[in-house]
Amino acid sequence: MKIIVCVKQVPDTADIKWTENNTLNRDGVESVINPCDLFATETALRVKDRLGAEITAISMGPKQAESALREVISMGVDNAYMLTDRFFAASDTAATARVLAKSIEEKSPNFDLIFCGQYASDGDTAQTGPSLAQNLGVSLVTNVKSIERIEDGKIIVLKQEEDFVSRIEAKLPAVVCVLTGKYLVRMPKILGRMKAQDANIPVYNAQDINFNAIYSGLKGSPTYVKKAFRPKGRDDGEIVYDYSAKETADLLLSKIEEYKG
Amino acid sequence: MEKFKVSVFCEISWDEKIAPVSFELTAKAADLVKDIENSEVQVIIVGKRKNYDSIIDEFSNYGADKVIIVNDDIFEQYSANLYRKAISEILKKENPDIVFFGATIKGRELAPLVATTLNTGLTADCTELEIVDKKLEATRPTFGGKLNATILCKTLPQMATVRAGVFRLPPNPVKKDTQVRFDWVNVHNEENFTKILELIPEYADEDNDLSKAEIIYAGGRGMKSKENFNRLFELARLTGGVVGASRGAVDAGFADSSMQIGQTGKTIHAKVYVAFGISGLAQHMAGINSCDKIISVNKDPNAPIMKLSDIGIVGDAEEIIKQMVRSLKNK
Ligand SMILES: Cc1cc2nc3c(=O)[nH]c(=O)nc-3n(C[C@H](O)[C@H](O)[C@H](O)COP(=O)(O)OP(=O)(O)OC[C@H]3O[C@@H](n4cnc5c(N)ncnc54)[C@H](O)[C@@H]3O)c2cc1C
Repeated sequence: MKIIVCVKQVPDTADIKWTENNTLNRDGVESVINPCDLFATETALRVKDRLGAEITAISMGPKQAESALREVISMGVDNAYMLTDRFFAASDTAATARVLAKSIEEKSPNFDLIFCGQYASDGDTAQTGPSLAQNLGVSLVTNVKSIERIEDGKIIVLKQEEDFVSRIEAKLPAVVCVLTGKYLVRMPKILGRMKAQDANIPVYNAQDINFNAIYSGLKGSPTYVKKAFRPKGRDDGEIVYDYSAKETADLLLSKIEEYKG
Repeated sequence: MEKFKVSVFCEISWDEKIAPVSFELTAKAADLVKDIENSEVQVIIVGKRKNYDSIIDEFSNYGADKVIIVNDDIFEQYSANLYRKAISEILKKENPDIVFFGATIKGRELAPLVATTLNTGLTADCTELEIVDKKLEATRPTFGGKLNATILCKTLPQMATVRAGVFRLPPNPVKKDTQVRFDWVNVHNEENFTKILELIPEYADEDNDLSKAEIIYAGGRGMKSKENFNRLFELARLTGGVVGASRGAVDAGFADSSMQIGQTGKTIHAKVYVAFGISGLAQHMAGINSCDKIISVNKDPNAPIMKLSDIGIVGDAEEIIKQMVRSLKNK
């Protein structure tokens, strides 16, 4: 079985702070692997544990995102490649999915499964996985909690729906978008770390994957950001200090009564 | 002059009900185009039913000019690929300027499939929508809610998804004389990639239903214990509210995961939301932004939630909850 995992390096959004002058301070903000992608990696590794598989991790991004790929190799992923090109920078989800799809067609076309995180913690659009499936013309299941089994060219998964869970069967090859879960993501072992250190991670640009770069980047993306600004808080909210518990309780109870109308 | 068209995808849930966000988006679309000459709000329904009269009626009430129905036995079971095909074909025929989907689980799956099929752009989870010079300006939170971005689309149709409850239904909507068209799309040659084997109900606590509650008390990691959550349940019982939790509290084992509010939990629309010991990070706030009033109790005056509240109270959660219960019992 051949499995691909899509991994994105994201800024640790908890570290990003606003400065007094309404600019974002990203100093000292660490880059981490997008949480859902860690679960996607773990899911792929569990399939490998059970059925045997070769897992390839892919990341599109700046050169330094290579460290994310080394990390998943240390967890047990077999090999990886980067997609890095200045013409890829500032791609929206549609353009990103095009690049990923083309790279897969060129470099790892005989896949059975592609695991993606359901969403990225920075953009949170949840669009790249579905768009990738459509570009490749294969099955798609989103919001996946767990894999039940893989048999006869099909994968059976549990999908989180609005108020319940559904059991879905999808034909392989398939793109499977994985949620974060309550299970543990494995820690790398020493041997894994050593393997990751020595791993050869090719870096492909647009030309290497026969991708016409006019369909990526700021120019090739259908959407663009017109402006970015600080969300405003609640208008005329107030902060109450130094009330006793009794005073606070009375205030709260009267306000709840007032607000519920 | 070409008609300016806005299409809204009508989502039918598993229980055959129309997802409320479909009405919300229809009403919003009607409001957005009200000053645009020669405009049309059209609703696209894909499904299998004997009768669509009552649905059409409701969409008329919220300002739909046209309802397009693709009815076929094959749509009885939801299949992403077949629905994608049907919607895309109708959109190719109609050539709308703008298309809205609810950012439900189904909508978040279908919208990117349709956008990719039509080779156009899509903006997810918008919280504000505007039309300026016939261009859609869609604003959405990014970077975990720390930044808002206004996004435009260079290609047509300009597509966007919106969460339920972001736009409220108007109290006095303008009823339209709605035109109805039954259409047909051949999806029978398309691959049916997926099959639903079973729907498994999740344990739902009927007495603690967050989706419809008017008063919600939520606790976070700052609640410190499960016992304090029991006190919160008592407070809720005494005041007619229900209890929710942050992921911090769920992860700490103070509360059940079915109570989680936020990006990966429930979205709530309470009149009053009271947070005890919750820091107010973006993923949590994503679930409560459409509450009318937010009150927070936190021992840290600089906790992010303080700025996002109508009233922020600096104090100890446990002590204040105990006192509230005491005051209510002494009444
Ligand atoms: C992809 C992703 C999805 C997520 N989805 C969700 C989601 O759906 N819902 C969600 O809630 N979170 C979600 N999170 C997690 C979120 O980022 C926060 O980590 C979480 O909301 C924090 O929970 P908390 O506020 O209870 O805990 P903390 O952030 O630890 O805050 C505890 C607060 O309690 C206060 N406090 C401490 N002691 C007391 C006391 N005695 N009295 C009063 N106050 C006190 C502290 O000052 C602090 O502000 C998600 C995160 C990610 C990355």
